[in-house]
Amino acid sequence: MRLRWRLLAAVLAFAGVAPAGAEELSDRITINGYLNFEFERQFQDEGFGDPNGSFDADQFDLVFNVHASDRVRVAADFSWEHGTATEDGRGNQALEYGFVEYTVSNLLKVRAGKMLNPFGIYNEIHTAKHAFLSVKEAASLNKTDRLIDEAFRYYPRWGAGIALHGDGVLKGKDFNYDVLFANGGQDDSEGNPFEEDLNSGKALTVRIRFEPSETLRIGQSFFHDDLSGGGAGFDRLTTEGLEVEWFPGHFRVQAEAAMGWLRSDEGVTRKQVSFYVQPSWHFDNGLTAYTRYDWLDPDRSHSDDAGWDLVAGLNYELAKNLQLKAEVDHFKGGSASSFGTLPGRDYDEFKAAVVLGF
Amino acid sequence: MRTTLLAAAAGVMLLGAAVLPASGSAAAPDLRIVVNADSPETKLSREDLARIYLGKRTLWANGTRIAPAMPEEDSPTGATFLDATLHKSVSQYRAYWKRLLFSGGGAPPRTFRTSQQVLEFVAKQPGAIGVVEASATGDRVKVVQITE
Repeated sequence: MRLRWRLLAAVLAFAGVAPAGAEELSDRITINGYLNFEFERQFQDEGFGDPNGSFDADQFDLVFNVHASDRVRVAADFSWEHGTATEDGRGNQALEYGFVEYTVSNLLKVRAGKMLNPFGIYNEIHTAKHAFLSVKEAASLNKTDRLIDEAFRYYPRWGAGIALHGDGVLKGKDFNYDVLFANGGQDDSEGNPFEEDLNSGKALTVRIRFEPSETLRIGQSFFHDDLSGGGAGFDRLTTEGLEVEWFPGHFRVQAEAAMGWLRSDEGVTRKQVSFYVQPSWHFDNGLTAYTRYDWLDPDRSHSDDAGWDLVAGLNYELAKNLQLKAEVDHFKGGSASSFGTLPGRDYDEFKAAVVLGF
Repeated sequence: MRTTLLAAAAGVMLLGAAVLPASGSAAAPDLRIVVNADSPETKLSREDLARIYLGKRTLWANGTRIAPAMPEEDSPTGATFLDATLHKSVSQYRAYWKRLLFSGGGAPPRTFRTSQQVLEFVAKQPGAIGVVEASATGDRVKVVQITE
Protein backbone atom coordinates (compact mmCIF):
# COMPACT_ATOMS: atom_id res chain seq x y z
CA MET A 1 0.00 0.00 0.00
CA ARG A 2 2.98 2.22 -0.09
CA LEU A 3 4.92 4.03 -2.70
CA ARG A 4 7.94 6.12 -1.83
CA TRP A 5 9.13 8.80 -4.12
CA ARG A 6 12.68 9.59 -3.28
CA LEU A 7 12.63 12.52 -5.64
CA LEU A 8 9.81 14.12 -3.67
CA ALA A 9 11.66 13.37 -0.46
CA ALA A 10 14.67 15.22 -1.79
CA VAL A 11 12.50 18.18 -2.79
CA LEU A 12 10.95 18.33 0.66
CA ALA A 13 14.37 18.10 2.25
CA PHE A 14 15.51 21.01 0.11
CA ALA A 15 12.41 22.90 1.22
CA GLY A 16 13.56 22.67 4.82
CA VAL A 17 11.56 19.89 6.48
CA ALA A 18 13.05 19.46 9.94
CA PRO A 19 14.89 16.21 10.59
CA ALA A 20 13.59 13.74 13.14
CA GLY A 21 16.53 12.01 14.75
CA ALA A 22 18.34 9.64 12.48
CA GLU A 23 15.32 8.84 10.35
CA GLU A 24 15.78 8.88 6.61
CA LEU A 25 13.45 11.16 4.70
CA SER A 26 12.00 8.26 2.79
CA ASP A 27 10.93 6.73 6.12
CA ARG A 28 9.04 9.88 7.07
CA ILE A 29 7.04 10.31 3.88
CA THR A 30 4.38 8.00 2.53
CA ILE A 31 2.35 8.39 -0.63
CA ASN A 32 -0.79 6.39 -1.09
CA GLY A 33 -3.83 6.80 -3.26
CA TYR A 34 -6.68 5.22 -5.10
CA LEU A 35 -8.38 5.05 -8.44
CA ASN A 36 -12.06 4.39 -9.15
CA PHE A 37 -13.53 3.50 -12.53
CA GLU A 38 -17.29 2.99 -12.72
CA PHE A 39 -20.14 1.99 -15.00
CA GLU A 40 -23.83 2.69 -14.43
CA ARG A 41 -26.92 1.80 -16.45
CA GLN A 42 -30.54 2.31 -15.58
CA PHE A 43 -32.82 -0.53 -16.68
CA GLN A 44 -35.91 1.56 -17.48
CA ASP A 45 -36.27 4.56 -19.79
CA GLU A 46 -37.60 6.73 -16.97
CA GLY A 47 -35.79 7.29 -13.71
CA PHE A 48 -33.08 9.43 -12.17
CA GLY A 49 -30.21 7.22 -13.30
CA ASP A 50 -28.38 6.81 -16.60
CA PRO A 51 -30.45 4.99 -19.28
CA ASN A 52 -27.59 5.18 -21.81
CA GLY A 53 -25.09 3.28 -19.68
CA SER A 54 -21.95 5.30 -19.04
CA PHE A 55 -18.38 4.76 -18.06
CA ASP A 56 -17.07 7.16 -15.46
CA ALA A 57 -13.39 7.88 -14.84
CA ASP A 58 -14.60 8.62 -11.35
CA GLN A 59 -11.59 9.42 -9.24
CA PHE A 60 -7.85 9.50 -8.98
CA ASP A 61 -6.48 10.52 -5.59
CA LEU A 62 -3.06 10.93 -4.08
CA VAL A 63 -2.73 10.91 -0.29
CA PHE A 64 0.42 12.27 1.35
CA ASN A 65 1.56 11.80 4.94
CA VAL A 66 4.73 13.63 5.94
CA HIS A 67 6.18 13.32 9.44
CA ALA A 68 8.07 16.57 9.75
CA SER A 69 9.10 15.57 13.28
CA ASP A 70 8.08 13.08 15.98
CA ARG A 71 5.01 15.12 16.87
CA VAL A 72 4.20 16.92 13.63
CA ARG A 73 2.43 15.34 10.66
CA VAL A 74 1.17 16.94 7.49
CA ALA A 75 -1.62 15.12 5.65
CA ALA A 76 -3.07 15.98 2.26
CA ASP A 77 -5.44 14.36 -0.23
CA PHE A 78 -5.51 15.65 -3.81
CA SER A 79 -8.31 14.41 -6.03
CA TRP A 80 -8.98 14.52 -9.76
CA GLU A 81 -12.57 13.58 -10.44
CA HIS A 82 -14.39 12.54 -13.64
CA GLY A 83 -11.36 12.74 -15.89
CA THR A 84 -10.43 16.29 -15.02
CA ALA A 85 -9.56 18.45 -18.02
CA THR A 86 -9.53 22.06 -16.91
CA GLU A 87 -8.89 23.33 -20.44
CA ASP A 88 -12.38 22.14 -21.35
CA GLY A 89 -13.92 22.92 -17.98
CA ARG A 90 -14.58 19.24 -17.32
CA GLY A 91 -14.30 17.25 -14.15
CA ASN A 92 -13.25 18.44 -10.75
CA GLN A 93 -9.94 18.92 -9.01
CA ALA A 94 -9.89 19.39 -5.26
CA LEU A 95 -7.85 19.41 -2.10
CA GLU A 96 -10.03 16.98 -0.15
CA TYR A 97 -8.06 17.69 2.98
CA GLY A 98 -4.84 19.42 3.84
CA PHE A 99 -3.89 19.90 7.46
CA VAL A 100 -1.06 19.91 9.92
CA GLU A 101 -1.37 17.77 13.05
CA TYR A 102 0.52 18.27 16.30
CA THR A 103 0.49 15.30 18.67
CA VAL A 104 0.36 16.43 22.28
CA SER A 105 -0.30 12.86 23.40
CA ASN A 106 -2.14 9.82 22.09
CA LEU A 107 -5.25 11.33 23.67
CA LEU A 108 -4.87 14.77 22.10
CA LYS A 109 -3.87 15.64 18.56
CA VAL A 110 -4.54 19.16 17.32
CA ARG A 111 -5.17 19.73 13.61
CA ALA A 112 -5.46 22.93 11.60
CA GLY A 113 -6.44 23.26 7.95
CA LYS A 114 -9.13 22.02 5.61
CA MET A 115 -10.71 18.76 6.69
CA LEU A 116 -13.51 16.41 5.72
CA ASN A 117 -16.31 16.72 8.24
CA PRO A 118 -15.94 13.88 10.80
CA PHE A 119 -19.60 12.92 10.83
CA GLY A 120 -20.61 9.25 10.72
CA ILE A 121 -18.86 6.61 8.66
CA TYR A 122 -19.04 7.75 5.04
CA ASN A 123 -18.24 11.44 4.68
CA GLU A 124 -14.50 11.14 5.23
CA ILE A 125 -14.20 8.19 2.82
CA HIS A 126 -16.97 8.92 0.33
CA THR A 127 -14.51 9.37 -2.56
CA ALA A 128 -12.33 6.46 -1.43
CA LYS A 129 -14.48 3.71 -2.89
CA HIS A 130 -11.63 1.36 -2.09
CA ALA A 131 -12.50 1.81 1.60
CA PHE A 132 -16.05 0.45 1.47
CA LEU A 133 -17.95 -2.44 -0.04
CA SER A 134 -20.58 -0.89 -2.30
CA VAL A 135 -20.13 1.06 -5.53
CA LYS A 136 -21.60 4.21 -3.96
CA GLU A 137 -21.83 5.25 -0.34
CA ALA A 138 -25.13 5.03 1.56
CA ALA A 139 -27.13 7.97 0.18
CA SER A 140 -29.53 7.98 3.12
CA LEU A 141 -26.77 9.49 5.29
CA ASN A 142 -24.33 11.07 2.83
CA LYS A 143 -25.46 13.01 -0.28
CA THR A 144 -29.09 12.53 0.75
CA ASP A 145 -30.38 14.54 -2.20
CA ARG A 146 -29.23 11.73 -4.48
CA LEU A 147 -31.89 9.51 -2.96
CA ILE A 148 -34.67 12.07 -2.61
CA ASP A 149 -34.52 15.38 -4.45
CA GLU A 150 -36.20 17.30 -1.64
CA ALA A 151 -33.78 16.09 1.05
CA PHE A 152 -31.21 18.38 2.60
CA ARG A 153 -27.66 17.35 3.36
CA TYR A 154 -27.03 16.71 7.01
CA TYR A 155 -23.67 18.47 7.08
CA PRO A 156 -21.24 20.14 4.69
CA ARG A 157 -18.62 17.91 3.14
CA TRP A 158 -15.66 19.99 4.33
CA GLY A 159 -14.73 22.45 7.02
CA ALA A 160 -11.77 24.82 7.35
CA GLY A 161 -10.82 25.29 10.96
CA ILE A 162 -9.31 23.68 14.03
CA ALA A 163 -9.87 20.04 14.99
CA LEU A 164 -9.03 17.76 17.89
CA HIS A 165 -8.59 14.02 17.68
CA GLY A 166 -7.69 11.49 20.32
CA ASP A 167 -7.55 7.79 21.07
CA GLY A 168 -7.93 6.56 24.61
CA VAL A 169 -8.88 3.68 26.87
CA LEU A 170 -11.75 3.73 29.32
CA LYS A 171 -12.02 0.80 31.73
CA GLY A 172 -10.05 -1.34 29.31
CA LYS A 173 -12.19 -0.39 26.30
CA ASP A 174 -10.91 1.71 23.40
CA PHE A 175 -12.54 4.93 22.34
CA ASN A 176 -11.73 7.84 20.06
CA TYR A 177 -13.14 11.27 19.45
CA ASP A 178 -13.09 14.05 16.85
CA VAL A 179 -14.08 17.69 17.25
CA LEU A 180 -14.07 20.14 14.32
CA PHE A 181 -14.65 23.86 14.79
CA ALA A 182 -14.94 25.42 11.33
CA ASN A 183 -16.21 28.32 9.29
CA GLY A 184 -19.99 28.29 9.09
CA GLY A 185 -22.19 27.66 6.10
CA GLN A 186 -22.68 30.29 3.45
CA ASP A 187 -23.81 30.64 -0.12
CA ASP A 188 -20.89 29.29 -2.15
CA SER A 189 -21.47 31.89 -4.85
CA GLU A 190 -20.72 34.66 -2.39
CA GLY A 191 -17.35 33.58 -1.14
CA ASN A 192 -14.94 30.83 -0.26
CA PRO A 193 -15.73 29.30 3.15
CA PHE A 194 -12.22 27.84 3.25
CA GLU A 195 -10.76 31.33 3.08
CA GLU A 196 -13.19 33.73 4.73
CA ASP A 197 -16.33 33.36 6.79
CA LEU A 198 -19.09 35.73 5.71
CA ASN A 199 -20.84 35.50 9.07
CA SER A 200 -19.77 35.19 12.68
CA GLY A 201 -21.51 31.84 13.22
CA LYS A 202 -19.27 28.80 13.26
CA ALA A 203 -19.94 25.12 12.63
CA LEU A 204 -19.23 22.43 15.23
CA THR A 205 -18.92 18.70 14.57
CA VAL A 206 -18.34 16.16 17.33
CA ARG A 207 -17.97 12.41 16.93
CA ILE A 208 -17.29 9.83 19.63
CA ARG A 209 -16.65 6.16 18.96
CA PHE A 210 -16.49 3.44 21.58
CA GLU A 211 -15.47 -0.21 21.25
CA PRO A 212 -17.21 -2.37 23.90
CA SER A 213 -15.43 -5.39 22.38
CA GLU A 214 -12.97 -6.10 19.59
CA THR A 215 -15.84 -6.97 17.26
CA LEU A 216 -18.26 -4.18 18.08
CA ARG A 217 -17.97 -0.45 17.54
CA ILE A 218 -20.62 2.13 18.25
CA GLY A 219 -20.50 5.84 17.61
CA GLN A 220 -22.43 9.05 17.86
CA SER A 221 -22.02 12.20 15.76
CA PHE A 222 -23.34 15.71 16.19
CA PHE A 223 -23.28 18.71 13.86
CA HIS A 224 -24.51 22.21 14.49
CA ASP A 225 -24.26 25.37 12.43
CA ASP A 226 -26.00 28.50 13.70
CA LEU A 227 -25.55 31.31 11.21
CA SER A 228 -25.49 34.93 12.25
CA GLY A 229 -27.12 35.87 8.94
CA GLY A 230 -28.74 34.26 5.90
CA GLY A 231 -27.09 33.43 2.65
CA ALA A 232 -26.87 29.65 2.82
CA GLY A 233 -30.61 29.08 2.42
CA PHE A 234 -30.97 28.35 6.13
CA ASP A 235 -30.06 29.91 9.44
CA ARG A 236 -29.69 26.83 11.62
CA LEU A 237 -28.80 23.20 10.90
CA THR A 238 -28.52 20.56 13.61
CA THR A 239 -27.93 16.86 12.99
CA GLU A 240 -27.45 13.86 15.22
CA GLY A 241 -26.22 10.51 14.00
CA LEU A 242 -25.65 6.99 15.32
CA GLU A 243 -23.43 4.27 13.88
CA VAL A 244 -22.93 0.60 14.71
CA GLU A 245 -20.48 -1.89 13.26
CA TRP A 246 -20.44 -5.52 14.29
CA PHE A 247 -17.86 -7.82 12.73
CA PRO A 248 -17.75 -11.14 14.59
CA GLY A 249 -16.30 -13.07 11.63
CA HIS A 250 -17.53 -13.83 8.15
CA PHE A 251 -20.83 -12.11 8.89
CA ARG A 252 -20.65 -8.36 9.39
CA VAL A 253 -23.22 -5.62 9.85
CA GLN A 254 -22.88 -1.88 9.44
CA ALA A 255 -25.75 0.48 10.20
CA GLU A 256 -26.31 4.20 10.67
CA ALA A 257 -29.21 6.47 11.47
CA ALA A 258 -29.49 10.26 11.43
CA MET A 259 -31.96 12.93 12.32
CA GLY A 260 -31.63 16.53 11.17
CA TRP A 261 -33.39 19.82 11.84
CA LEU A 262 -33.08 22.54 9.21
CA ARG A 263 -34.46 25.97 10.04
CA SER A 264 -35.06 28.23 7.06
CA ASP A 265 -34.35 31.96 6.88
CA GLU A 266 -38.09 32.39 7.48
CA GLY A 267 -37.90 30.46 10.76
CA VAL A 268 -39.62 27.26 9.58
CA THR A 269 -37.96 24.08 10.86
CA ARG A 270 -37.97 20.86 8.84
CA LYS A 271 -37.13 17.52 10.44
CA GLN A 272 -35.48 14.82 8.32
CA VAL A 273 -34.88 11.19 9.33
CA SER A 274 -33.00 8.36 7.66
CA PHE A 275 -31.18 5.10 8.24
CA TYR A 276 -29.48 2.22 6.48
CA VAL A 277 -28.60 -1.35 7.41
CA GLN A 278 -25.89 -3.22 5.52
CA PRO A 279 -25.28 -6.89 6.30
CA SER A 280 -22.49 -8.67 4.43
CA TRP A 281 -20.84 -12.07 4.26
CA HIS A 282 -17.09 -12.31 3.69
CA PHE A 283 -15.77 -15.49 2.10
CA ASP A 284 -12.14 -16.50 2.67
CA ASN A 285 -11.32 -16.19 -1.02
CA GLY A 286 -11.82 -12.40 -1.15
CA LEU A 287 -15.44 -12.42 -2.27
CA THR A 288 -17.95 -10.45 -0.24
CA ALA A 289 -21.71 -10.47 -0.78
CA TYR A 290 -23.58 -7.50 0.59
CA THR A 291 -27.00 -5.99 0.67
CA ARG A 292 -28.14 -2.62 1.97
CA TYR A 293 -31.45 -1.01 2.69
CA ASP A 294 -31.45 2.81 2.70
CA TRP A 295 -34.52 4.72 3.85
CA LEU A 296 -35.01 8.48 3.97
CA ASP A 297 -37.91 10.72 4.96
CA PRO A 298 -37.04 14.32 4.01
CA ASP A 299 -39.85 15.95 5.99
CA ARG A 300 -41.57 14.29 8.95
CA SER A 301 -44.49 16.71 8.72
CA HIS A 302 -45.42 15.46 5.24
CA SER A 303 -46.74 12.01 4.48
CA ASP A 304 -45.79 9.69 1.63
CA ASP A 305 -42.66 11.64 0.70
CA ALA A 306 -40.10 9.04 1.84
CA GLY A 307 -37.90 6.97 -0.45
CA TRP A 308 -35.70 3.92 -0.23
CA ASP A 309 -32.97 2.03 -2.05
CA LEU A 310 -32.41 -1.73 -1.83
CA VAL A 311 -28.95 -2.80 -2.95
CA ALA A 312 -27.62 -6.30 -3.61
CA GLY A 313 -24.03 -6.60 -4.67
CA LEU A 314 -20.71 -8.38 -4.86
CA ASN A 315 -17.26 -7.15 -4.00
CA TYR A 316 -14.33 -9.30 -5.07
CA GLU A 317 -10.70 -8.61 -4.20
CA LEU A 318 -9.08 -9.85 -7.39
CA ALA A 319 -5.56 -9.00 -6.24
CA LYS A 320 -4.20 -7.21 -3.21
CA ASN A 321 -6.01 -3.85 -3.00
CA LEU A 322 -7.72 -4.33 -6.39
CA GLN A 323 -11.47 -4.77 -6.08
CA LEU A 324 -14.20 -5.50 -8.60
CA LYS A 325 -17.71 -4.42 -7.57
CA ALA A 326 -21.10 -5.10 -9.13
CA GLU A 327 -24.51 -4.33 -7.71
CA VAL A 328 -28.16 -3.80 -8.54
CA ASP A 329 -30.02 -0.89 -6.95
CA HIS A 330 -33.80 -0.75 -6.69
CA PHE A 331 -35.06 2.78 -5.93
CA LYS A 332 -38.62 3.51 -4.89
CA GLY A 333 -40.44 6.44 -3.30
CA GLY A 334 -43.80 7.67 -2.09
CA SER A 335 -46.37 9.45 -4.24
CA ALA A 336 -45.46 12.81 -2.72
CA SER A 337 -41.73 12.32 -3.30
CA SER A 338 -39.71 13.01 -6.43
CA PHE A 339 -40.44 9.38 -7.39
CA GLY A 340 -44.12 10.29 -7.75
CA THR A 341 -43.55 11.32 -11.37
CA LEU A 342 -42.20 7.89 -12.37
CA PRO A 343 -44.28 4.92 -13.57
CA GLY A 344 -44.56 2.62 -10.54
CA ARG A 345 -42.64 5.27 -8.59
CA ASP A 346 -39.47 3.23 -8.97
CA TYR A 347 -36.52 2.37 -11.18
CA ASP A 348 -33.55 -0.01 -11.17
CA GLU A 349 -29.91 0.54 -11.89
CA PHE A 350 -26.89 -1.66 -12.47
CA LYS A 351 -23.60 -0.33 -11.15
CA ALA A 352 -20.09 -1.74 -11.43
CA ALA A 353 -16.66 -0.49 -10.51
CA VAL A 354 -12.99 -1.30 -10.58
CA VAL A 355 -11.22 0.25 -7.61
CA LEU A 356 -7.56 0.19 -6.75
CA GLY A 357 -5.87 1.38 -3.60
CA PHE A 358 -2.14 1.75 -3.32
CA MET B 1 -37.45 -7.05 -8.69
CA ARG B 2 -37.12 -8.41 -5.17
CA THR B 3 -37.16 -11.96 -6.55
CA THR B 4 -34.35 -11.02 -8.91
CA LEU B 5 -32.30 -9.58 -6.08
CA LEU B 6 -32.82 -12.66 -3.90
CA ALA B 7 -31.92 -14.99 -6.75
CA ALA B 8 -28.78 -12.95 -7.42
CA ALA B 9 -27.85 -13.10 -3.74
CA ALA B 10 -28.31 -16.88 -3.65
CA GLY B 11 -26.14 -17.23 -6.75
CA VAL B 12 -23.45 -15.16 -5.14
CA MET B 13 -23.36 -17.35 -2.06
CA LEU B 14 -22.92 -20.45 -4.21
CA LEU B 15 -20.21 -18.73 -6.21
CA GLY B 16 -18.31 -17.76 -3.11
CA ALA B 17 -18.61 -21.16 -1.54
CA ALA B 18 -17.96 -23.42 -4.49
CA VAL B 19 -16.24 -21.82 -7.45
CA LEU B 20 -13.50 -19.48 -6.31
CA PRO B 21 -10.38 -20.93 -4.70
CA ALA B 22 -10.09 -20.62 -0.96
CA SER B 23 -6.90 -19.42 0.66
CA GLY B 24 -4.70 -22.13 2.04
CA SER B 25 -3.50 -22.61 5.58
CA ALA B 26 -0.05 -23.28 6.93
CA ALA B 27 1.52 -23.98 10.30
CA ALA B 28 1.57 -20.76 12.35
CA PRO B 29 5.15 -19.47 12.82
CA ASP B 30 6.50 -18.39 16.21
CA LEU B 31 6.82 -14.64 16.43
CA ARG B 32 8.93 -12.08 18.24
CA ILE B 33 8.41 -8.39 18.78
CA VAL B 34 11.56 -6.29 18.48
CA VAL B 35 12.30 -2.60 19.00
CA ASN B 36 15.21 -0.36 18.15
CA ALA B 37 18.15 -0.98 20.50
CA ASP B 38 18.00 2.60 21.80
CA SER B 39 14.39 2.23 22.88
CA PRO B 40 13.79 2.21 26.65
CA GLU B 41 10.85 -0.18 26.19
CA THR B 42 11.30 -3.66 27.61
CA LYS B 43 7.75 -4.97 27.71
CA LEU B 44 4.30 -4.21 26.30
CA SER B 45 0.85 -5.56 26.93
CA ARG B 46 -0.89 -7.37 24.11
CA GLU B 47 -3.54 -4.63 24.08
CA ASP B 48 -0.97 -1.85 23.73
CA LEU B 49 0.77 -3.76 20.94
CA ALA B 50 -2.57 -4.03 19.12
CA ARG B 51 -3.18 -0.29 19.60
CA ILE B 52 0.19 0.49 18.03
CA TYR B 53 -0.59 -1.58 14.94
CA LEU B 54 -4.05 -0.05 14.66
CA GLY B 55 -2.75 3.51 14.76
CA LYS B 56 -4.35 4.27 18.13
CA ARG B 57 -1.04 4.74 19.90
CA THR B 58 1.51 6.75 17.94
CA LEU B 59 3.94 8.01 20.58
CA TRP B 60 6.23 6.18 22.98
CA ALA B 61 6.31 7.40 26.57
CA ASN B 62 9.51 9.37 25.84
CA GLY B 63 7.81 11.29 23.02
CA THR B 64 9.41 9.42 20.13
CA ARG B 65 7.11 8.63 17.22
CA ILE B 66 6.29 4.94 16.97
CA ALA B 67 7.18 3.47 13.58
CA PRO B 68 5.58 0.02 13.36
CA ALA B 69 6.69 -2.55 10.80
CA MET B 70 5.69 -6.10 9.96
CA PRO B 71 5.91 -8.72 7.23
CA GLU B 72 3.24 -8.52 4.47
CA GLU B 73 -0.21 -9.01 6.02
CA ASP B 74 -0.99 -12.07 3.92
CA SER B 75 2.33 -13.83 4.65
CA PRO B 76 2.17 -16.62 7.27
CA THR B 77 4.00 -14.40 9.78
CA GLY B 78 1.83 -11.37 9.09
CA ALA B 79 -1.47 -13.26 9.17
CA THR B 80 -0.50 -15.05 12.39
CA PHE B 81 0.34 -11.75 14.06
CA LEU B 82 -2.93 -10.14 12.97
CA ASP B 83 -4.94 -13.10 14.20
CA ALA B 84 -3.11 -13.64 17.50
CA THR B 85 -2.52 -10.03 18.53
CA LEU B 86 -5.08 -7.87 16.77
CA HIS B 87 -7.74 -10.59 16.57
CA LYS B 88 -8.40 -9.59 12.99
CA SER B 89 -8.33 -11.38 9.65
CA VAL B 90 -6.20 -10.00 6.83
CA SER B 91 -9.29 -8.53 5.14
CA GLN B 92 -10.52 -6.93 8.36
CA TYR B 93 -7.10 -5.41 8.99
CA ARG B 94 -6.85 -4.03 5.47
CA ALA B 95 -10.41 -2.65 5.61
CA TYR B 96 -9.62 -0.96 8.92
CA TRP B 97 -6.52 0.77 7.58
CA LYS B 98 -8.05 1.79 4.26
CA ARG B 99 -10.67 3.72 6.15
CA LEU B 100 -8.20 5.30 8.56
CA LEU B 101 -5.64 6.16 5.90
CA PHE B 102 -7.99 7.77 3.43
CA SER B 103 -9.86 9.74 6.09
CA GLY B 104 -6.63 11.43 7.16
CA GLY B 105 -5.86 9.30 10.20
CA GLY B 106 -2.32 8.40 9.19
CA ALA B 107 -0.44 5.76 7.26
CA PRO B 108 -0.52 2.03 8.11
CA PRO B 109 2.49 0.11 9.49
CA ARG B 110 5.22 -0.47 6.95
CA THR B 111 5.29 -3.95 5.47
CA PHE B 112 8.27 -5.93 4.24
CA ARG B 113 8.70 -9.18 2.36
CA THR B 114 10.99 -10.81 4.95
CA SER B 115 11.67 -10.73 8.67
CA GLN B 116 15.25 -9.76 7.90
CA GLN B 117 14.03 -6.60 6.16
CA VAL B 118 11.87 -5.80 9.19
CA LEU B 119 14.94 -6.21 11.44
CA GLU B 120 16.98 -3.88 9.25
CA PHE B 121 14.25 -1.25 9.35
CA VAL B 122 13.90 -1.48 13.14
CA ALA B 123 17.67 -1.31 13.59
CA LYS B 124 18.02 1.98 11.75
CA GLN B 125 14.79 3.70 12.79
CA PRO B 126 14.47 5.34 16.22
CA GLY B 127 11.07 4.49 17.66
CA ALA B 128 10.62 1.50 15.40
CA ILE B 129 8.91 -1.70 16.47
CA GLY B 130 8.71 -4.81 14.34
CA VAL B 131 7.13 -8.23 14.08
CA VAL B 132 9.57 -10.95 13.04
CA GLU B 133 9.82 -14.72 12.99
CA ALA B 134 11.38 -16.08 16.17
CA SER B 135 14.33 -17.46 14.20
CA ALA B 136 15.30 -14.04 12.84
CA THR B 137 18.21 -12.30 14.54
CA GLY B 138 19.89 -8.96 14.09
CA ASP B 139 22.07 -6.30 15.66
CA ARG B 140 20.79 -3.01 17.10
CA VAL B 141 17.41 -4.48 18.00
CA LYS B 142 16.12 -5.96 21.21
CA VAL B 143 13.24 -8.25 21.97
CA VAL B 144 10.37 -6.88 24.05
CA GLN B 145 8.28 -9.06 26.30
CA ILE B 146 4.58 -9.18 25.51
CA THR B 147 2.31 -9.57 28.51
CA GLU B 148 -1.36 -10.48 28.64
